[in-house]
Amino acid sequence: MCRRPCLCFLILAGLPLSACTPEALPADFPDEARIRGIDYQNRSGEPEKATILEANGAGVALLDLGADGDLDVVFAQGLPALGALVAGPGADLVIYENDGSGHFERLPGPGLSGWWTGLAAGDIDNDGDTDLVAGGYGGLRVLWQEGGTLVPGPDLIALDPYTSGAALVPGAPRDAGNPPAWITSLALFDCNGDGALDLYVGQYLDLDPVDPPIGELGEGALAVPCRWKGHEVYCGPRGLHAQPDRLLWGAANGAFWDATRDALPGHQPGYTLGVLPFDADGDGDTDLFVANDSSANLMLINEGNGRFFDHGFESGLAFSPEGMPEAGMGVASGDVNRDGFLDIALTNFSDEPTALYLGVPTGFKNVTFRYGLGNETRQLLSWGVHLADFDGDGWLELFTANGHVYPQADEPLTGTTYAQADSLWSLGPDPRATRFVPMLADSVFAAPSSSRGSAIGDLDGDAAPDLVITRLDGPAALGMNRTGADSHRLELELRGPDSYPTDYHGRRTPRDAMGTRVEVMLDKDDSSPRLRGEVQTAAGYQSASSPWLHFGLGTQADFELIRVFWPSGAIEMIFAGPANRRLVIQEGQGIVDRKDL
Amino acid sequence: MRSVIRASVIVALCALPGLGAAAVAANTTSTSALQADARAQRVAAWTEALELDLARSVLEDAAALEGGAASLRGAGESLALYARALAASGQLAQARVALQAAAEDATGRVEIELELASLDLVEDRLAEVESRLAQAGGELRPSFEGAPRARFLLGRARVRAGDPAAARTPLERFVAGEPRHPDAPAAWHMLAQEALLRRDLERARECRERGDELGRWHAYYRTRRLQRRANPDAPEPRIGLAQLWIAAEDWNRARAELEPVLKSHPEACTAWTTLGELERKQGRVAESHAAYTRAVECDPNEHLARYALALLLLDAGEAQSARVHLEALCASPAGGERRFIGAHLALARCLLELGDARAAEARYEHYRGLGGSEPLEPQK
Repeated sequence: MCRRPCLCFLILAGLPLSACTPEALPADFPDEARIRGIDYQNRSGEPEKATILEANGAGVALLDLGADGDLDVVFAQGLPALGALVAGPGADLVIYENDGSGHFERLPGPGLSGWWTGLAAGDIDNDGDTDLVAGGYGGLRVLWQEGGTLVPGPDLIALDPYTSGAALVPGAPRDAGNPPAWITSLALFDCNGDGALDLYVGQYLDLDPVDPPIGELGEGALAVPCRWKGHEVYCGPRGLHAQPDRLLWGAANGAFWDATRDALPGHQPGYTLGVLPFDADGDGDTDLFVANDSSANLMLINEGNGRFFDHGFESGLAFSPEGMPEAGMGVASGDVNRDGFLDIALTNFSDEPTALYLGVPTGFKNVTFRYGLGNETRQLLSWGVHLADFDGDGWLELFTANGHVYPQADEPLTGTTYAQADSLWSLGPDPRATRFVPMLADSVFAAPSSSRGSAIGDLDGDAAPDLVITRLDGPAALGMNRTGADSHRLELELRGPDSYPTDYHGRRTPRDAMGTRVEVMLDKDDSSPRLRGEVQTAAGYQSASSPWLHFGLGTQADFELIRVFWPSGAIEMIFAGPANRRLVIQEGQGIVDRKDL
Repeated sequence: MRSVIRASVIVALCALPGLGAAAVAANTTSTSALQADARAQRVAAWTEALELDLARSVLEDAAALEGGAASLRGAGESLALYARALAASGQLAQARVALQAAAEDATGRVEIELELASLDLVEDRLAEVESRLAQAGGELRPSFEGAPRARFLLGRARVRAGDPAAARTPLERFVAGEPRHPDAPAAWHMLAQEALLRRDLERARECRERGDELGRWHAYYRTRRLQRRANPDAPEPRIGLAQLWIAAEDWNRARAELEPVLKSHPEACTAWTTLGELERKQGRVAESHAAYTRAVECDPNEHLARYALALLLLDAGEAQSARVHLEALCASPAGGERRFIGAHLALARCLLELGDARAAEARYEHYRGLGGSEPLEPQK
């Protein structure tokens, strides 16, 4: 591992050592996980990947522990083997505390025991700090933040109508034929305007931990071998039973109850891997996109009261443009073409492109191939995904965390590889994906790996979103954003009211402002393009990113107007100000804190 | 090697007294027919392998050919499939080279051009697909008139390029000409999305249903073929394939799947039931009757055959014989299954026809109790 970025660059570029000044540092994302104290090592079963659980990896969450204004990191964790989960003990979450400068120290875990996959972050009990929900294979647990530490709270897998078999207790006796609930991506968001966060629980499939299918599915002459391109691989998801997702409504005190039957009428189980809350139809409430593996994606449109109906087919998001159900791994949103509509990026399997859908008044239109992403992403199997302005030029980039599920991908004639380098493309202003070429040997984009979950957030206080990436069976990567040195940036932290009057009965903004939409205008011309963001933490794959919004202003050193659309319905405007600041805006109070970057 | 032997045989035959030019010509014709047959078999095998995501086996087959893959030059369809296998295994550049090297050959020019268009699609060269397949006015080039896949590729490129309206005509012609093509579900889906954009909701619903139905059929078809590959001697996958072809009303292919099973596995009772179904669908009542009878003799619990046989007997006016089968079915555990609810009504009507009104009424009540709602007396 090269720990001296400048030196690495010089080596690669063949430049003399005298060129090693701060100005000469290349625009890149050096992986500084180790030198910054992150020594997380993912465990996800055995290298052969005999079962599908072992291939799916873990997520990561960025949240502020201790309300000290910086982002700390929590990783989900699996075990060295499926059998180890049954035998016990299980794995705990892995937590790192940020010292404010992007250097980390490992804290004791909260004491969970399981095989943890997905994480969601949000202020569940409206007490002003961010809590966590951890999902896993047989586990779904709330973790309250108390005094800067995470403390186990309610076990949501005990909620009705989960059955007793839904929970997997490591070390407890377990019979064959009893698959646990397998939770993948989670989303904390407010779906019914009561100011309390609700929880969408994405679930994958029935996998029996005691007697998992190996080699073939079915029996006798009608058995179908589990093969990919002629190679024997693990079985699933096709042929295994998809588990239905769940929607848990939350109360302001942090309690949840299962509202799936009422809130998701006619829900069709898919193999859910990615969940994205966002305002898809621009009506002010939060909708949900659900990325399903090998089955139709869902575009769940909120009726405004927390009840959702699927419009996946009508919106053009259910299938590929040719009607194929694709692998649907991770999903992200952002306004790629700056037309005011949120767009979607959706990662898929190899031989399927990472899809880009532009929002239009009638739904979404697939522009994957016009942007050249079909050819660019054909060989990649991608998971975590983000649409963010990493270089601060005012246009979004597309990040994907890549890595194949099958070790057999390294066999000849598969057209792909098991380890794959992560990728980043610029998507504007030229509407054509242009791949970022890493310049550093230790760039997170340089070496092939097996990436899975990813989260973005400003870890070192420079307003440039950094990358945290989990890698299957390997160390996590911390891609420190060293791009856009000349760009002006703005970082916004949004906060809902501390409380509402007791006689207030209207829609409420959650205390962590989840669902708040923001527009940043760069000049006075009302018809000029504006930058958009929405406060949501759930994005990508099994992970939670920072709730803070990052805007790149390019060469412009100030903004003209910030317009905040609070979930309560209130609209707030912040007039002209300088860039290169971190602003904290609270509903009804305007800017309550500011910090020069 | 075989072609070498065959050529030697022809040369030897020419030298024999009494065998003149006519005999040689006949043998040459026979040889070309054999070669054509072999080519057709190869195309079928490779097509299936590619549909089943087994590009590697195509490449291995091609490498094992006398002269290797280079021998495919001049065999356009095979070469196109070989190139498709190269592309599926990540060797796009090699696929393009192989195709371009053969592009000037007169034979298989269309297939080669189509495969190049397919590569263009994979590489997001949407404008190239358009110029390769369409004329200036947007119509398909005349050279592709006999190639339905050209319409699909053109439609697909236009959808990808963001012009679904222009994709409509080629896609509609494609599904009309190749209703059961593996790409037909995709074509229906694109047509459904195009209809949605025009706010033609009825057409969108119709296209979606057609695509979904066909997609399910192809999913089953794929699974059955994988099962057949895994267990080539087992009757069940072939019976399943025959049933799929019956559903698709392709009687010849259904029979082609079924006959080897009946020959090698006469104890596979479901195969006789399926044969009965095939014969019945073709209106061959006597043959259908015989097959269903054989199925019931083979296994008294072959309930579908018993039910179908009873209905045939009823149609033939043999109510007493039908009654025997229907009573056996209704009394069996299968008689309580939803799919056999009609057997109770049929028995009631049968009893009525035989003059046993009381028993007919009792059976009809039983039928109603199971949830049936049709009247006892058939409506004229």
